[in-house]
Amino acid sequence: MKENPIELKLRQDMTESLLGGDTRPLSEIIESDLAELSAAGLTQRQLAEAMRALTEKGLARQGIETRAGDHTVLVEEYMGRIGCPFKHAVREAKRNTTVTDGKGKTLRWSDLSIHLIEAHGFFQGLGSPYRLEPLELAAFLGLI
Amino acid sequence: MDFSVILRTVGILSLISAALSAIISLSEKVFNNYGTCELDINGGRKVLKVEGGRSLLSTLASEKIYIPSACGGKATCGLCKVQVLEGAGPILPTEEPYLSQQEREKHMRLSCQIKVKGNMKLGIPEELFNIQEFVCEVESLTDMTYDIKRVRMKIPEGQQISFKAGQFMQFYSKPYGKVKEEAFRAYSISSKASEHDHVELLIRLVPGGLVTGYVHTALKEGDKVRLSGPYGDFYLRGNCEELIMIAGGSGLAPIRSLIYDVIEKGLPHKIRFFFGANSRRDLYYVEEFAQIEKDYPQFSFIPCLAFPKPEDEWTGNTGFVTVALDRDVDSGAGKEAYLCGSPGMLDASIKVLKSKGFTDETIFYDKF
Repeated sequence: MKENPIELKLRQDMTESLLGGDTRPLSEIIESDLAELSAAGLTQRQLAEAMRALTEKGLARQGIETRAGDHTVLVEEYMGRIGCPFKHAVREAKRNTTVTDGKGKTLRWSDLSIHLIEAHGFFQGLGSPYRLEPLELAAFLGLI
Repeated sequence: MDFSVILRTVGILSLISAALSAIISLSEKVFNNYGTCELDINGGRKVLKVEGGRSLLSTLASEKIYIPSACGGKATCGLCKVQVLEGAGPILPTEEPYLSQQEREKHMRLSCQIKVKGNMKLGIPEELFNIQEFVCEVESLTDMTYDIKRVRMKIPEGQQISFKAGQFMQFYSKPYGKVKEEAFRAYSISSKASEHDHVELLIRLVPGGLVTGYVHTALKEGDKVRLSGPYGDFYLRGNCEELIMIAGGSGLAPIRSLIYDVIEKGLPHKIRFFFGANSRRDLYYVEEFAQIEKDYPQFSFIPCLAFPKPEDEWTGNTGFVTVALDRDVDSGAGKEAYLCGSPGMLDASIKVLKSKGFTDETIFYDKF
């Protein structure tokens, strides 16, 4: 699949850490993740909403672990905001949500990760330290 | 198929692709060669002759004019706006989201996105000409809390730093571990504005953060690091009787610098400093502020713990910093507020301050 000039510019502007050395065109990264989700009968919005709900649970006791059903949630905020690499005029708070499920598995996401999944279907490149595997995330959130 | 036919076909295809590459390379040289361009800044105040072809942001940086940017030229922060009166061409799709109607009317553009392709007329605030780049030696690295380090750096011989208390620097990390890229972020200066041969930053570890990860895991005393600055319009106005200072985490940095500035200049303002933390392990500089309280009766320090642990044996203020703020500050009359911390804390504190009569003109904080 060939990258169009806009995709190419987006890729050039993205930090290596978002792509993690994934050399596939952005559209291919996104389409392959969304196809996996779709095959499981899920949408990117469902995942984003479930993630946001856990973040909001943790926000009330920022910096302190909070129970949310089977999950333990820890929300931590840092100074500054972070922009959307897809050039949306969105500047999300630098806020990390760390969630542990009943089996001891832990996933972490930022507010920007939620935006990237919801608005762009971008779970970040293979090899990125911030990547969330779509089906693994869905299972973790109890959606499948 | 005959083997010689396959070989001939492969050979012809290789020749075609080599020819195409040569044409592309040649056309890039011809069409992307913009030659020497003239940048006229502030109506002839500075006129630069530069090689065209690069972004305005990096072209200006190579001429030692540093435009603030928090994202490193990736069009995600919208901070690197400059006025381009001539020579920029139409607004690009990547700039669209960051330019208000008012800014468009003033010909503001994102300097990281527009290329220097010809002569340009620019408007750049004069104070940006004072921004310098420093390659400093890390003199000491001190753990202030479990996740905040103080980085004290020596300004190189022959240079000195002059800044207004409250301003910030851009700190550049180097590739380390699995991180292959250089990155930079903005950090407020925590040291005294009267100190011109050193600069201190307080850097809190952000899990997964590129630059904070570098500082917390790779940086060593004696290393050389690159900084530029000072930047920002978060500094003391002082058109009031009392200063209300509010901070959380590493947001203490510019407030510390501001407090020392008021004291060293002998200004008459009363200062109340509300510092929000979760538990005792998040508090730092407590002894220092207690000493300032003793030495300067105009200053009071109000640490607030939102979730003190039993072992903290905490007898001070409990709850979020906004609880103490709401209780202790009666009105905004005769006061200015200076805030630094996470976006959530800023939003909540501003809400309380506005309910007391503070206005956008009496509340100051950094927007990066």
